[in-house]
Amino acid sequence: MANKLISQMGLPQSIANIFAARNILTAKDALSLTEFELMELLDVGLDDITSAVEHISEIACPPFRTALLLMEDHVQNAHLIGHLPTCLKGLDDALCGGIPSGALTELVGPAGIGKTQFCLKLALLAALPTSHGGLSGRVIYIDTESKFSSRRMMEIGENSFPKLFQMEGKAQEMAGNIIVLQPMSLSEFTESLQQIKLSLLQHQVKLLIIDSMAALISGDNERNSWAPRQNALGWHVSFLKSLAEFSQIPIVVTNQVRAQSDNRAFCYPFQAQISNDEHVKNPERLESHLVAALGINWAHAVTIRLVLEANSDQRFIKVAKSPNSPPLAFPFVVTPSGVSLQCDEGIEVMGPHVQTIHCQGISDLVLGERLWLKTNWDKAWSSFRKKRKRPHSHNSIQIPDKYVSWDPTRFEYPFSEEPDPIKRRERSNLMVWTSPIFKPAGAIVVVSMLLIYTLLVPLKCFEFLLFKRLCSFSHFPSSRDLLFLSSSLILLTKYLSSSSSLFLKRDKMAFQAAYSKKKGTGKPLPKRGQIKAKIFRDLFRSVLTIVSNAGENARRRKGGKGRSPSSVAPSPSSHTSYARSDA
Amino acid sequence: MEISSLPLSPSLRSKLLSAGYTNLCSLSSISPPELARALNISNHEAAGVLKVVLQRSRVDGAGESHAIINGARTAWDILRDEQTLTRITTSCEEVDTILGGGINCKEVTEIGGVPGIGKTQLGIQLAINVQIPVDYGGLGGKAIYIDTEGSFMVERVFQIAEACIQDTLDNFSLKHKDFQVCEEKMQPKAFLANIFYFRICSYTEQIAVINYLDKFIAEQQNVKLVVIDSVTFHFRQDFEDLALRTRVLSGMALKLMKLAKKFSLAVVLLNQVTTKFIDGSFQLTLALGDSWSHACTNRVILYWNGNERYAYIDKSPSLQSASASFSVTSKGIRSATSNSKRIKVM
Repeated sequence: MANKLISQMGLPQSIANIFAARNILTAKDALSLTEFELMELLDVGLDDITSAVEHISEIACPPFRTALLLMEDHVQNAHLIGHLPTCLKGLDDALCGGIPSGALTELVGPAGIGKTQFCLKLALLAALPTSHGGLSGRVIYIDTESKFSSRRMMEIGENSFPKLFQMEGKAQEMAGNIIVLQPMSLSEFTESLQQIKLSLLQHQVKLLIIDSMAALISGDNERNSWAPRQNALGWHVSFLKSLAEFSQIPIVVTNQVRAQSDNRAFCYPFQAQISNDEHVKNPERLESHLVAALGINWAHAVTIRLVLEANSDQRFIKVAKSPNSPPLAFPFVVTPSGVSLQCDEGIEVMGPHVQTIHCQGISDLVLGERLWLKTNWDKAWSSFRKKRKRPHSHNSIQIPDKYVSWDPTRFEYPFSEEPDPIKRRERSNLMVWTSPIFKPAGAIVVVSMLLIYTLLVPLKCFEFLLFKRLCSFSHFPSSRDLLFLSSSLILLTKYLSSSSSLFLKRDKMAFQAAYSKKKGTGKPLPKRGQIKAKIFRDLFRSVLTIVSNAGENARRRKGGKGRSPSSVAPSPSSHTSYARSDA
Repeated sequence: MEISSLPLSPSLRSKLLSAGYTNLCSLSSISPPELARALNISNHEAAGVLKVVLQRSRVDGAGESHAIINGARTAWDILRDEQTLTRITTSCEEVDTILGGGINCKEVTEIGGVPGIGKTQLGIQLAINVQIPVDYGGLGGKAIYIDTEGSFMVERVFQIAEACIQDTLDNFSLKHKDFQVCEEKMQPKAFLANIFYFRICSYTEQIAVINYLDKFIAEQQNVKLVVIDSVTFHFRQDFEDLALRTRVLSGMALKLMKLAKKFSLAVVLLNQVTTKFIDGSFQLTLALGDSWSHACTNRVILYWNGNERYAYIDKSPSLQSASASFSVTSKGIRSATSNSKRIKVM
């Protein structure tokens, strides 16, 4: 009704034209604006606008029905619309005949309680021929968690309706009526929902099951803020509701549970005093408190909420929210023939406890019963999470053994199959060090070669210079030359210390370069070998200056006017050369 | 009085201004043809403009009549009116007491609470109770039920209607034993026939229905209650533009208020709750935001206190803020079974 065209509403032609000219085409456009806004926008007097809006409203408004008519409708078309019986007598009585058509029914409960079992049973019942109490229609089953098991469904069918399933071809016919969709993302789900709207009427669909809603919504926007989730959910809620209303079929949706944190104790501001006292009284109640996922907005939107819970080794199904039934709880068990009630007399639950979800002793139940499903990943995951949960895990010290292997072993699979570049590099290193050819002896050789290279090569060149110098003296080494040699040895130690500081400086430079590259403002990262070349250049320069200084000193001393050679040792020029390299 | 404050279309207004007519006095002694010529518009339009002007000047210059301001009433008159005013019982004595006898006609009452607290139950109960005939101390009116959530279950309505009729008859036969009961009125089917049910699927339809109600109530006559269950749902789902939402909502509230006054009927809006971050903790408040909270005359919050349902008057111009317990039974809303004296003044 909202998208009805204004041009087809029978307004006076002049007014209708004005609406069309201002691009107000549908009732939705017109009614989203107030009358004064419309007056300003359309440039028409207020009286005309008021009458036009009244007219549009009257046409856009859906027709009324009296409650009596609704009642008669329900009585007459009980076989057509009515309810989907769950074959659980107590629950059917409580819900006035089963899951109602045209409404949203939610199943909520902890993992592994039997939500999917319940859904499978419902799907089967809707596909069952009318002679056996079913609806003999098609079922659309949207399975977002990939938990649909047709084998299990057939098992439920064989156990609950043995006669029917022994008939030739019946099972195939029924299974053929259950259409399973497995959307992988929220957008895919949305798309398929829109497609479903068309096919619902054409193909005699009698039931729509979504298992589960929470998986998609929470999975898609887990890291995002609160708002987008609400928006996505809002659209789905109103779409599902209109779908149910429009096609008059029951829609069943499952929901997961979340643990409620303590600080989220919801109460009204005026209740603050009271609730605080309560918290003090029973703090343990809050700890094991589970609530349905998807928030309070969703909770308002569902028409019927059934809570499945486990309390002290017994499973219960509770009617937590329903416009026409009291809050009852029924004990149930999951048997080979699906969910079945242990007694049809419900226990009335007092107070808000009907909303709480307990999950006690469920793992014992699962083990005791030996479920048909080999691995229930849901349960496995939840128990794993429980195990992993440790108190104060966030401020415990990280243990390196977790990440570092002290005893590396050679990988056997081919090196070319390693896609991760970092691991590739690590492995290539590891391959060298762990290869059988490479022995500890080889390692010693390699290390000593490196040592020789770093220590001797600079010495050699120094020796060469020294030798040249010595040769230039025509006579035997005198005391003066010994002095020179000792001073040059001091210089050598000085050089060694300065070269080590140079190596440190190299690291610093590399770091600075990398850092500046990260920031994108500084110099580009020096290429391989450039730093080494720089070091050697500096070294060469400094040695040259030292040698020439020493030579000058010697010459001066040769000139006679005795000056102490120790003044030579801290040569200022060598410092300036370092300063230059710094720049 | 300025021309610019008249409800005229912008083009006419600008024509008037450009022709030199800036206030109402300048228009008071002019004939339609003259005005038409001056503004270069048709005679018909000019007559329309003068009509608007005359209306406005009559409102302004009403000082001569017996009231000081036209349309206003003295507090004494209002008090007399209020004493004769009828109220719709909630079927729960304690809640009636804190509400001053029931849901007030001519007022907009908002009822909110967490899911499953019994908002819809209370809505249905009121829709039934408003139909208790005058002979039995009721209003004998009709009810409009606007359902946006699809939670109106006819079976349940029938159940509540039956229980209500039974209780009324029991009470009455105790008091007046010789009274002849008019049987045909006291049938559940007759009760159901007087509930007009609208199923709303989008917010546009919601606005349309509220616009249409004016006409509908005039046609149907004797409608005494409008229930909207819930006012929130569609506005919460498909609105991105929050400013527009506020405008549309306030327009809607205004229309409902006007409706309540005009037909002297009670408007009951059911609202959902939302969580709000106040003082470092999450607390519950009614949905639709702060500007909406000004829209209703009375506001009642239903909440859980221990194992019992309580109603709390959050906002009301005339009533003391108090809370009282109630319970939802198979018969509908009733007094809490355990204790009769449970009213707590906050």
